[in-house]
Amino acid sequence: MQRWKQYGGLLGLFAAFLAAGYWGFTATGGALPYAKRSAKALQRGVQESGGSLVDFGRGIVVAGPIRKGGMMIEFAAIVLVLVTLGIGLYIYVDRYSGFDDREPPVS
Amino acid sequence: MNLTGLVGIIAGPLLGALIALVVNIFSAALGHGAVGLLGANTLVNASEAIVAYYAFKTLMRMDWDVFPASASAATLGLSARAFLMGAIIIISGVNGSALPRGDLTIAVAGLVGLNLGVAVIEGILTGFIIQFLASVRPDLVDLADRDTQEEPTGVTA
Repeated sequence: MQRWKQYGGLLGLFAAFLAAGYWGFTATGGALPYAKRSAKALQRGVQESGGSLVDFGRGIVVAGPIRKGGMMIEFAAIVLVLVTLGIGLYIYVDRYSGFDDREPPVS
Repeated sequence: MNLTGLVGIIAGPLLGALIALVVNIFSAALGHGAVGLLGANTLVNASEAIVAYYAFKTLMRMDWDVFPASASAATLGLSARAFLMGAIIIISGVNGSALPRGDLTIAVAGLVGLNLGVAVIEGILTGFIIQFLASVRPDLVDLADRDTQEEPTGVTA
């Protein structure tokens, strides 16, 4: 199948789901931690939306046990390791497995 | 986000469902979920793995590239899971909630919609991971017979 159709389909799917996600986000209370969001939505039904989608003053919401347990540095270290690993794997694939036209390495 | 779609694509529907059960048992032991919810949680997670697997196979048969096929498959799997989750909550009702069934349906629809938005992120991640696996170990995703690398053209030494 033609490549533009594949990626067009994928982008259409993503656009529809992101629109549904945005509606769900605002309909269930806007910027809220997930547990509070579920409790609020399920106990009282959908409320008028509150809070913005992007709220820099809110900061990054990290799960309570990590934040309150004083493990933010460890958490940040794990995030850093995973990001480094991900970028490393991407570079590895890009260089050595050849999705491009370069000649594969002689084995 | 637990990458169950990825598990389904790699391990297949049967093993994927089994893995969902084992993961949920461990999760319940750690207090994430509950023993009483084991059946519902496993059903929800297994549906994600099964739908992702068959969607991936179908799209690959339609000669899609690995990334769009796996990203779409994982996103579709997650949407199936979100709808099943919503259906289970609506059918079983919520303890301690006095919401009538109609209002509960609307409330749950909001949560399902939110899950669909998050599904996009997991779909993209799954696409990248499967593309990586297909390039280094095509046999893991049953693509050994498929040409994932460009053949060198012309005369080589």
